[in-house]
Amino acid sequence: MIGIVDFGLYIPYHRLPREAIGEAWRMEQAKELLIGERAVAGFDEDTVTMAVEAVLEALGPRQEAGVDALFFASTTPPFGEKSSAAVVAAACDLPVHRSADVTGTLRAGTTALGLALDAVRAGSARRAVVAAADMRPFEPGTLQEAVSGDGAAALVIGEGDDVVAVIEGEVHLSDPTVDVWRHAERRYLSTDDESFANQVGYFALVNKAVDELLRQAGVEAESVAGVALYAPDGRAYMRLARKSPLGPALARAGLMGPAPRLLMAAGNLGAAFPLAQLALLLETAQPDDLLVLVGYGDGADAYLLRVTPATAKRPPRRPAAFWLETKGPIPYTQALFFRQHIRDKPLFPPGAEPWTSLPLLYRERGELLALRAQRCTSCGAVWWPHRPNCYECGAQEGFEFMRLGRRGTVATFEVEWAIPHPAPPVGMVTVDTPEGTRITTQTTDGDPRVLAVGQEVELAFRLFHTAKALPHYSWKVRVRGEGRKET
Amino acid sequence: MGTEALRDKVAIIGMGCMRFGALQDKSFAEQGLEAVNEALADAGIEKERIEAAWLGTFDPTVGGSFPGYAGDFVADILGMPGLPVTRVTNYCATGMDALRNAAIAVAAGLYDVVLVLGNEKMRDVPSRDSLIRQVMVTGHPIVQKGLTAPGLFALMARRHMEEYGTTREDLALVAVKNHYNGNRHPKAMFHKEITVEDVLSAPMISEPLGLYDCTPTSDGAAAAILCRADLAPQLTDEYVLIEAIELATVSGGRYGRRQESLIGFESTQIAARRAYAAAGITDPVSAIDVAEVHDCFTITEILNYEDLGFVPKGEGATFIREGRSSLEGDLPVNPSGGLKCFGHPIGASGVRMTYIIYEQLLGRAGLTQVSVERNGRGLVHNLGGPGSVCVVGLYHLP
Repeated sequence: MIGIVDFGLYIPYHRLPREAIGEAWRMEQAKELLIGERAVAGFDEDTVTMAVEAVLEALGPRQEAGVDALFFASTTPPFGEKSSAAVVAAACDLPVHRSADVTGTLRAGTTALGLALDAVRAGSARRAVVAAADMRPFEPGTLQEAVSGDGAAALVIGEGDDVVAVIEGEVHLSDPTVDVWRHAERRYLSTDDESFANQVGYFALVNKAVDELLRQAGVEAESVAGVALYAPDGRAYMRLARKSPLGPALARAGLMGPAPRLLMAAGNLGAAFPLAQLALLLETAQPDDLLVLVGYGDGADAYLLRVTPATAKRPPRRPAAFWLETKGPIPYTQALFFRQHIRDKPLFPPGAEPWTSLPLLYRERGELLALRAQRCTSCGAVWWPHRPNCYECGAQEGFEFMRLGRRGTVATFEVEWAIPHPAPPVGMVTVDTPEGTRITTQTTDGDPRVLAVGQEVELAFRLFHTAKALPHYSWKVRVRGEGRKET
Repeated sequence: MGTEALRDKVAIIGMGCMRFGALQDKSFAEQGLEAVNEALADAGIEKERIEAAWLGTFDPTVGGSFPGYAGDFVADILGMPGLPVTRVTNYCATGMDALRNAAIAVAAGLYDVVLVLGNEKMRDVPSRDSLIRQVMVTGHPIVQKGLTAPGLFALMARRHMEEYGTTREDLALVAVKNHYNGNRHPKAMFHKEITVEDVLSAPMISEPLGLYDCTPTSDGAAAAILCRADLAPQLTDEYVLIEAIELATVSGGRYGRRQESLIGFESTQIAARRAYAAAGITDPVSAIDVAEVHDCFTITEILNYEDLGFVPKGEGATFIREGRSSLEGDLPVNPSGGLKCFGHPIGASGVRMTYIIYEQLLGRAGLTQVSVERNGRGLVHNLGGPGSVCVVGLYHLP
């Protein structure tokens, strides 16, 4: 029984009403698509940090869960060269042997799932994580900018009693038809005639893959309980529903289907979109439900999944709805600034690039990336970051290193108004962790003034800044969802 | 050897202090020379009597100045080739630690007459560019990135408020008192009295600390001439003696879970304990006539009242509320207006604070003069870093 053991969703905090984009650019056409909100990744987020969020949601209370492979999927990895998967695995403190980035195509998420399944089937991985995240780089002022959104999803793939959805069939199509593309030297995505692309690309390839999937499995379309399906936007989704064998299932789900829900609350999440929908479906699926997952882009990937009784035993955690429903409004100008669309206005002022050192980052990767604290076996004191001695008892050896659970309580905090920062005000919070250490770090996602001494908070993996053209990642305090006065 | 080894072996026979401020028309070298010349004139000696010097400067590059990186700068401005000069840097306690090292050398009998110069140039760049932006640029690339100097003390202010009910109004009283005093001191940067309302309505810097809760960044220099105590009467009529000068350092990492590290400074407590022991002081409020303490932020002065033993931990706010630290109080604190009104050119501050106590003990403090009849003793407290370095000095009349 090989299949999906667990799943997680992540949607950024900031939401931009699509109406605001329409107003800014005087968009008079396709107003029916300018509804709902677009999820906007913070200035301190990218596809690596969002993938980490989704993976940690997917692992839930299991933490490491025997994972030994990680596949990262995105059309927008932060690095032109350097493995994002390796960074994600390190931040999640996963002892993986294999990591790979699947990128360059919209179907990267479902294609990475196929690679992970094959690795587990072949025995080269016991448990594999698929982490898909995307921030589609459409040109500001386009309809595609408005309907897309930033977000991530992750799946844990494995074999055993805890598989919650077994893979009962899969179809993969590779096709050179040009729909959306980006030249390596271009910043924004290119598109051409939308109806052409949908006709010969999206509708044709999705339907072909789904027909083949159902035929191979000998399954009637009517027996499909849920569908996780890539869709460029709500209009194309509705058209496909009318022509697809999956039409009845899509019609049954209506606006509560995972695609409409995500499109309204976040947008088309690109390579992460079908997996994010699957995460929503699996959360409420019942044993024996048949689910169809379809990814699209340069071909298509289609999967047939059957939900197992193990779904009832999935370790509890906060629902995916947390990520959909805890949010804050972002002005369009700030959203453009976060993505550096405002010419000559960098995130940090010129001359404010932090000093950095690659040997230092290497030495401290255990605490900075993997969030490991140092425990003195002589007296039990716990330290973060690591140090050469125990300041409590003086021991200079006998230290253990342990991953911190991400939660702690606010010992004290302050709100910085004077430092240059892309999203003022930023808070600095001193967090006492239950393991017994104390971490002082920046806040993210929300106004730090809602915090209070003594309240519980969570650490989130974020970008601090870029120096030497290298993103510097570590842990911040997430204000989102924690405050007394959260709006 | 104990803490008493230094007691009364070293005299301060001359001091100089320029008017602090944003000194755009003076270079780092000109500042230093002005302070040294004033100190030499005060002592009534020629520069050739100086046998060695200690330069306290924290970061000459804050102001973009290259001189000051090393001791050679002092030999240069004095035109004294061969002068042995040591540069000292120990966070914001740099000035007092330079003075302490100079005193140790004199007490040890190596030199008869030495110079201490505290000098810092911070306003060659905008104030936001100096210490605040430095936080984003220098230091660890990630750990505590974004935690500014005001931020560090704001963390403690929040916790002190939470545990002891200290209010923003209490903090404002410190700024109001120090501005009242500073308005009466000719060398202060700010000559302006303010109200509690002014403080509360000022823009936030590091919430809960606003603009008037913070020392400004400024340029400044102060100098002291130290000599063997037994030689002092031959050189000058008026001088003070160093009774004790104690340095304490603790971990600067805010390590561990010790709650007291969020509401006070262990370095101050240890340095004060040692200094009081050296001088035989058991009740500091009655044994000290005047104190110049490190009020980099309003909360710091309240924490200092507690850590220096003026009041028990948690009762710092009462000391300001009851007016006990005002010019007419039973222990006037920061009669000069403190860092709040002088600003805090880092390496200069400790020497400048010593200058304030020196003039108080010698009765030269003009409108800010308080009575030193009771003991003829003053205290200087200079705190550095994340509260991890502290020097406490006690001075008295011979």
